[in-house]
Parts: sequence; C-alpha cells; structure tokens
Amino acid sequence: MTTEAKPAPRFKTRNLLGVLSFLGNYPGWAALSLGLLLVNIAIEMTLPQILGNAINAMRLPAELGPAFDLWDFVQVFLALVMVRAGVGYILGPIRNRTIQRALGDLRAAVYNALQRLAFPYHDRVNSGELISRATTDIWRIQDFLFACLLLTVDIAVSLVVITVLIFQVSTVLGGVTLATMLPTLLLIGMFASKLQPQWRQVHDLHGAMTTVIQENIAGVRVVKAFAREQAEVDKFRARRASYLDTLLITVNYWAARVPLAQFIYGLSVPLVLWIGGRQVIEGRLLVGDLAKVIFYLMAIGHRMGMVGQFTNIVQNASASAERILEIIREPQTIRSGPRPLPPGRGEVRFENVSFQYAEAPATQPGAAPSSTEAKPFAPTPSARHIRAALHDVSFVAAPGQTVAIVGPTGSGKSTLVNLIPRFYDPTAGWVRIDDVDVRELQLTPLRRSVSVIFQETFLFSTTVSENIAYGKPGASREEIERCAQVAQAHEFITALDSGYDTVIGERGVSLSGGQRQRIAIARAFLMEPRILILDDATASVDSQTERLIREAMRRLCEGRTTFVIAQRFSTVKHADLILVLKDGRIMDQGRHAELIERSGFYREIFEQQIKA
Amino acid sequence: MASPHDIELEEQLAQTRMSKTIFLRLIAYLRPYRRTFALNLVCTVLATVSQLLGPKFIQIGIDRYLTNFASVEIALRGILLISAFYLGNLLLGWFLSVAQVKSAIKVGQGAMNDLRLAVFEHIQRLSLNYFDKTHQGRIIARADTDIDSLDRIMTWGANQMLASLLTLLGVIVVMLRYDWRLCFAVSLVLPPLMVATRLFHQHGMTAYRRVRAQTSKLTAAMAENIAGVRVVQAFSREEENLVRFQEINATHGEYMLAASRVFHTYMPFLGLMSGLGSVIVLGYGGTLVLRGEITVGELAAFALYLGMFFGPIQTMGDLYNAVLSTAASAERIFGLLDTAPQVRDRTGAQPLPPIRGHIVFDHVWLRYDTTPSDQWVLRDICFEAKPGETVALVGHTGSGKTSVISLIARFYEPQRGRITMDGMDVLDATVESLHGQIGIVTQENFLFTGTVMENLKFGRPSATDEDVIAASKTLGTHEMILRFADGYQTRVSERGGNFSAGERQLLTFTRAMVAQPRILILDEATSAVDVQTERVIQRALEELFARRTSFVVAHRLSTVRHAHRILVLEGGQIIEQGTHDELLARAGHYAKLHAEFVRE
Repeated sequence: MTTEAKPAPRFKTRNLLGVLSFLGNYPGWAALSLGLLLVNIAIEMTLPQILGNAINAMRLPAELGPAFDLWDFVQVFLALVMVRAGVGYILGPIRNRTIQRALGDLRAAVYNALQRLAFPYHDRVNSGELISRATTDIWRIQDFLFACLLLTVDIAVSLVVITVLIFQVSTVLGGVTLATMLPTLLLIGMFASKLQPQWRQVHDLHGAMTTVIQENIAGVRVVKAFAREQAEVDKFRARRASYLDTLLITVNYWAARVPLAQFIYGLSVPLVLWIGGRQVIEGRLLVGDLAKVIFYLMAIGHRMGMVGQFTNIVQNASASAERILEIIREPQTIRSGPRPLPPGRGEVRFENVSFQYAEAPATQPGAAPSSTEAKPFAPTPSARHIRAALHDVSFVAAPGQTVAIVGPTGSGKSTLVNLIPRFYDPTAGWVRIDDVDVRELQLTPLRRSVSVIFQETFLFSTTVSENIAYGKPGASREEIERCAQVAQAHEFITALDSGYDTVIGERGVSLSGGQRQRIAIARAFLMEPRILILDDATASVDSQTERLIREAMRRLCEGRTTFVIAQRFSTVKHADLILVLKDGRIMDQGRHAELIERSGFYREIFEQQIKA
Repeated sequence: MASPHDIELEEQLAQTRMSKTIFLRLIAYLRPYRRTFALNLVCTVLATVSQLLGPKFIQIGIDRYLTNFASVEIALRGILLISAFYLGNLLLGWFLSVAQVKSAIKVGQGAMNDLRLAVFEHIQRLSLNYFDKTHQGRIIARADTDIDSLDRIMTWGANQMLASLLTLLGVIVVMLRYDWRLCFAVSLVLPPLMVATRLFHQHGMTAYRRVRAQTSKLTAAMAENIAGVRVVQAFSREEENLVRFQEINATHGEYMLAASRVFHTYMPFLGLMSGLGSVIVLGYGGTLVLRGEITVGELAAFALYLGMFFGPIQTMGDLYNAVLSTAASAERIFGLLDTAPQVRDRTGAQPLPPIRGHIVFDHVWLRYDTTPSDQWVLRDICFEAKPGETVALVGHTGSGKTSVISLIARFYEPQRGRITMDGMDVLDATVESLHGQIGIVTQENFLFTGTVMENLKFGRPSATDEDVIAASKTLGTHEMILRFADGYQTRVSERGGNFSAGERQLLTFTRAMVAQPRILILDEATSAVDVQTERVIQRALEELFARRTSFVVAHRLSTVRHAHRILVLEGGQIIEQGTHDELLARAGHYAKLHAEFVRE
C-alpha cells in the first residue's frame, strides 16, 4: 500500500452536466422543489428582520414611532414559522421523489447498457469494477443531485441574500461580513479538496485492513495448514498501524487548517459587535438592527461548515459521472439484424471465416493505477492473454449432425462456437444458419434457437423453476418438470426442501457442480433449440453423477445440430464430423475412423487429450 | 427465507440494551488511553462553557453599553472590551475544539483497533470446528463491521453526551437566572421535542431497514446481471430482466420516499418548535421588556440560547440509538472472544522433531460439532503409513476421506483412539510444530492478494526466489507462470480471481512444493486441472511422493494406481485396504469403482 496521497481526480463539468440531464427529464418537479426551497430560504431571511424590528420598536419612545403593537409582530412571525414547517413537510418528499426518479432512470440505463454490451466488452472489463461503478458511483451521483437541488442553492442564495441584507443595514458591517466570509469560503474549499485525497487514503487503508481479515478467514485452512497464524497477525498489526498513523496524520492536517478557516469567519461577530456597537452608541445604528446582523452572521456560520461537504460531493461526483457515462455511451457493437429466423432444421455453414480479437483499447490518459473506489476507470486485464484467433475456417454441419471440435488449448475451439449465436462477429467471412447470414437475423430469435451449455455453470439466485425457465419465462410447471426429468435433475430437485421453488444460493441450499450442470441442461432443453453448443466440461464429479450428466446430454443432443468441444472419447467417436483445430486453422475434418487413418496431428491429440 | 446477505443486514441493524458487563468490558479498552481520555473530557467541559458564554457577552454588551450607558466614552471603552472578551473566548473555543477532536479520535480509534486486533488474534487461535459451524461472512463481520459500528460510541460517545447534557443544563440555568417565567415558557417546547425525537428514531429505523434491505436487493440484481451477462445474452433475456429490475428499482424509490417522509416530518416539526420558541420569546419576552421586567439584551440572549436547545436533543437521540446498535455488535464481538479454541496445545506439549513420516491411526473415532450425536463421521479407523509411503484414500463423496486427512493435520481431534507420528501421540505435540511440517493442497485452491511469488512463498517465507523457481520447474508450472502478464510478479487479485481454476490449482501445488513439507496431503488437488496437465504433474508428483509420506484423495482413480496403500472408505469406515493389484484381485468395492472409472 503506497503512502503518498493520490492526485485529486480531474474535474469535468461536462460529465456533471451529463448526469444532471437525467434530472432534466423531470423539469416540473425539479422546478417545484427549487421554488419551494426558495420560499423557505426567504422565510428564514425574514425572521431575523421581524425580531430586529421588534427590538427597535420596543426601544423607540412612543412619541417618535407609530403606535406599537407587539402582537402584530408575533402574529406575522407565527404565520411564517408555520408556513415554513408546512413547506418543509411537502418539499422534502417532492425533492426526494424527483431525485429518486432521475436516479432510477440512470440506474436502469446503466443496467440496460451493461446487459446489452457484447462479449468483447465484458471480456475486457473486470466485472467487480463494473459492479462498483453501478453501485458506489451511483450513490455518489445521488449525493450530487441532492447537492444540486438543496445544498448548492441553499448556500449560494443564503450567502448572497444575507450579505445584501447586512449591507442594507450598514455598509461597514457588510464590509466586515465580506472580509471574513470570502477568505473562509476560499480556504475551506481549498482545504476540502486537499483533504479529500488524504481521507480517501485513510479509507483505502481501512479497506486494506478489511481485506486482510476477509482473506484470512476465507483462507483459514491454508493459514492453518502452513502454520502461518503469527505471520498473519503481524501482517494485520502492520496494516492497523499504518491505518492509525495515516488517520492521525490526516486528522492533524485537518486540525491545523479547517478550524482556522472557521475561526477567520468567527472574527466577524466580535468585529461587528465592536464596530456596530460604536455606531449604536453614537446613535447611527439601532440596537435592533445590530441584533439582526448578529442573527444573520449566525445563519452564515451554520452554512460555512457545509461548504467543505459541497466541495467533496462535487469532486467525487465528477469522477463517478465520468465512469458511469462511459458505460452508457459505450457503443453497442453487436446489433440485431432485420430478418426473422427462417424455418429450417439447423444447418450451420462457415465460409472462409476469420476472426481477430480487437486490441484492448488503451486506458484513459492519466488514469490512476488500480486502487479502490473513485479511480478513473482502468480495466483490470485478466492474467491470461491466450486469445485464440481464427483463420479462414470453412465447414458445413448438416441438420441434426453432431460436430466435435478438438485441438490444443488456445487453438480457437471456444472462439469458433461463439460465432454461431453472435457472441462475437467474424472479422471476415460468413456464418450462416439455414442459409442466412447470422448478422442479418434478429438477435433474440437467433439466440433463443441456439443453446449454449457453458463450461462454468451460472445459475441465478432465484427459484430452481425460474432458472430452468430462464429463456422462456412463461413456461408451465409441467414443461419445466418434463425438462428436468430428461436432464436427470427431477429427482434431486424434488428432494430439496421446497422442491422446484427452492431459491438457489440461499442459506443451506448449495448445489453440487453436477447438480448445477444438470439444471443448466434442463434450462437449455426448455428452449427446444435448433442448434446446441456444449462445452464438454470435465467437472469434478464422481463417476455416478458423471454418468447421469452424460445421459442427460445425450438426450439433449437428439435431433439437433450439436457442437461439442470434446474431451471424451465417446463423444468424439460418435461424432458425425470432427474439426481438428490448430492455431485457429482447421487442420483436417472428417469422421474418427478417417482421421485416425490420415492425420498424424489428430492421432497425437487423440492420444494425449482424449483417450485418458 | 433469508440469504446470507440478509442475515448480515439483520445483524447490522440489530439493537439491544447495553448490559453492564458489556459496557465495562468496552470501557476496559479505553484504559491504555486514559490520560488522553481525561484530557478530552476536560476540553469538552471547557469548550461547552466557552460556547455558553457567547450570548452572555452579547447580552452584557447590549444592556450595559449599547442601551443604558452613562456616558459615550465609557460605553465606547466598554464595547471594545466586551468585543475583546468575545474574541478571546473565540480563540479559546478554537484551541479547545481542535484538542477535543484530536484526542477523541486518538482514544476512540486506538481503543477500537486494539479490540479489532484482539478479535483478529483470537480468530487465529480458533479451530476449524468454529469455522465449520459459523458462516464466513459472520466471522468477518466481527472484526470488520461490528468493530466499525463501535466508532460512534467509542470516539464521540463520552464527549457528545457530556457536551449535550452540559449545554442543556447550562442554557436552562442561565435562562433561569435571567427570568424564571420566560425560561419556563420557552422550555415548554422541550417535551414535544423529546417525544418527536424518540418517535423519529423508532419510525426512522423501520423505514431505514426497509431501504437497506431493498438497496441490497438492487445491488444484488445489478451484480448478478453483470456476473451472469453471458447467460443473459445467450438466452436473450434483456427485455425481461430490465422489466424486473425496474420493479426493484421502483420499490426502492418508494421506500426511499417513505423514509424521506419520516425525516421530513421530523425536521419541519423541529423547525416549528424552534419557531414557536422564538414566538414565545418575542411575544412573552417582548411583553416583559415593555413592562420593564427584563432588558433588551436579555431578550436577545434568550433568542440566541433558544438555538442551543435543539442540537443537544438531536445528538442525544442519535447517541441513544447508536448505543443500542453498538450493544448488539459488542455482544457478538465478546461472544467470539469468549469462544475457546478446540484444538490447542496440551500442557507440557513438546515440539515435534523433524517427522520421518511413520503415521499410525489406532482405532480412531471422529464426530464434528455439527454431527448428530448418535452418528460418527469416522468409525474405528486403523491403518499405518510407513515413512515415504504414498497412501491413497478413495470412496464416494461423504465417505470420510477428507476427515481422515483433517485428523492427520490435527485440524480436529478424535473423540476416541489415538494418532501417532513417529511413535509420538499427536496430542502431545505442539500444533505449530506439526502444521509447520505438513503441506496440504485442497480443491479450494485459495490464493492471497499480492504477487504470485509472495503466494508461492506463503508456506516457507524464508525461501529464495531461486528456490521457488526450482520448485516450479520440478513441478512443470514454471512455463505457465512465465506466460502470466508479469511472470512471477503478476498481481493476484482478491481470491486469485484473475486466474482460472486450473491455474490457481497449479499455483497452490507449487506453493506446497516450495514449503518442502515432511508430509504431503493432496485432497482432490488435481480435479480442476485438465487431463493433459494432470499427466504432466503426475510425473513430478511421483518424484515428490518418493521422498515423503504422502496422502492422496482423488476421484480419478488413475492418480491412485501407484500408491503403496489404498484405503477404501464407505460410511466413515475403512472397508478395504491394500495395493491396487491386491484390491482388484479381491473383486470387491474397489474393483467395482475401478470398473466404473475405466468405462468412462
């Protein structure tokens, strides 16, 4: 963990305006809440006037002033106080509703953009980082929107109006106000922006301490197995010490500056008391007017503390807005085509297909290296860089055939099958399903007729039945159960506490790898896909489970064009077509019997990888 | 039904009364900082007094020099003097508040983090039985969020309480001295204020709970859709998902609105009360001024003191709430500190000399804390491993293979029977001396954040880079590591998330190699690597097995074929043991398993 403070993020008004535009979708509500806020500020500014005038009236000899009735003042004061409470009561929820709507729109926009961005984007960008942007950064924007509809207006309007009002009472006292207020504003703003990276560092160090705790507990077996308990305590002790040290340094830094700035403003009261007092004594100013000024000074003092807060919010929001808008504005690279899926039985034709992964775009200039929270976005690359390209791949899979794809790691097996449901688009050549270029097809029907069983099974934390019906949300219970039965999953599902209504991932419900895989098979089954893609995973399951899975897969493949990234002898042996891949090229294709005869490379692969 | 996340949330929002014991135990952590703490309290008292003096100076200024002065000259001098006093008081307040903040943070954060360290140290001592029965998130919360929630009370509790009480008391005393009737009249706003504050906290808490729960749903929905984005797109679920997300989103907005209604009922009410207070000062106080019973300066002072009523009442309501939450956290923290470790050194335990590796299980029975009391996980296990032998354990999931291995490492202790290592009962040895000589590779393949190199040295910090590279070469992982972005210096992100399961597994393998254990245990260690890689490792492993007693648990029977001894477990018992050939010849359980395996 580095100890030097990180530079403050660059400030960009454009990004802030970008998120503000979401508020602009509710102009009426936004205007209403600003209007009501102004009403309340006006009332607050009037109350000291009434108090001061009452004091003046009390002091004036009866023969000089008009007939004085205290109750007039009391009634006006009471009325204003009640209006203020009433406005406050309706204003809060109105403001909140406006902001929540804008924020809801923003959140949905981010959600939608993310789920529609194509695979290359998600390959490139770390998902943890996206999650943090979709959550933490949006909270920061919430603070910012509140600042725009409340803090900013309140501070700006109040300070200006009060200064004007004090000037009306006395030019000199107005001068004193400005002379103390302006330097304080400037200093607080400056200190806040200097302090912010320091506080962030304190926060990061706290996070580092938490990481040690989390890892230590998650890896407790490793720690104990290697007898490293004491070393872990030492590590934690060091993190704790650097956290506490940095915290105290930051507090000292704060203590040497911010209270000083507030003190400068605090000087205004004794100065006004002295200068204004002289004027009163010399008869140039009324006591009540002096009292007014002092009340006003207190109202300003109250707002001085918020200036630092405001500075922080705007700075944070600027960085967050940039990260969020980046997601929303990221171009969608894979777009739906115009044609509906033609009827057909699932012929797949690759014609001179080449594919190249796009170079990862350079990170933004000046982007800080990885650290927590408010960093400008820098994608965290995977540790692996084996990205297989494809060169001039051609083959035809007839309807209902099983195509096995074999080849060493990194030869492009996954890349090839990913082109069929358009997870990626080829850089050259054509992929056709039933004689239509997949790029011309509407995306939803295409993907719903091509089912993929991924190597790592991903299930959603909802009920088992909803997971099975994931691709067809309206499916009936009978349909779901039938598919589960074919997928050899019905038995263990009914044995779960709530059967098909068991929520996956909740306490106590942990499914084994084999069970998860069978749910994924049932999920694919329900789609009745024309084309099926299987990443034939070697999951860690015992042989009994493995047999169940293979039986399920066999039934799933029946009558569909099936692509299998093959690891097993039985799959390869029975395939109608075997594609032998090496470095993104098809070395040979044919049936097992032919290939074993004529292809040395195939024999080698077969010996090494498949016939284990 | 509640997810682990909901349970954590429930924990964080739990409240309870603070018992005296808990309170005293917390206070004990302040002891090392008692001087600073005392300084903090003194500063607090002085700062409060200084604040109370402000309006008093203004009142004196108005009454003596601005309104009823005898001569202009005296008045001018007087007002200068009173302004100077005010300034002096301001300076004093400045110094005091700085000292107050610094000392409070030093005490609070110091004590809090001492407690955090104590919790962390205690967690290191706890045995695996605790980790089995306690959800990981909960243990983390003890040292993390539970401690954090003490912050408010440990850092600010004492001085905010003191300051609030003193301010309220001081304001009332000063007001009483000015005029008891007006003081009484103004104080009428206090009872409704207190009731409103109490109600606000009750309703606010309920509303806040709902918001928090919905927020976590929102975050979960967002996170899940990102993590599962490939499946989302594969099934073309974007439309449907957006509709569902909008529902969660809308509900969240509603709950936020409900919470804001509670808040925006309380705050305007507070404003109304303060306004009413001012109306009383103006109306009744004004009448008293007109009757000549109080002075204008006193009236102004009343108006200023009135403003000091509201802060303390809000603060005290807040503190009360914080104490309730803190108490719940503290109870859980001390609950953990009071948990005794199950596996610990016996009195008179001796360090184990370098192990040759002769291991004997002598009628060993085991049951976990979570095992029903009429059942056993292991029953009457007897076997012997000679130095340098490789022992394989096979059997179906749940047959007890991993339990046998956990006993060798003394993660648990058997209820009956004994385990000896080179003739010494493992219970007579110190735990550390045993763990230091064992290397375990499990399916979990857990890596720590840091570099690849740091991870590989985890089991033997004294190893040099050359040692590590030599071990990787022996194992055949050297080339894979060089292919990583920065080779051995590649950063490992949290839990090794930037590596594939297979890569993580190979790294944990290498880590165990570097540690040069006297006993090597592989628990399903090769299940995540593909067949090709497994074959590469297999050769290296054979060399490693030759030099130390090794235990291997594996589903794939190909890996156990060459073991000197195979133990076949079923239902916690050893039902067969012998070499591969012997067991095949017996045509029993192992032969059946093997036939199943070969058929694949």
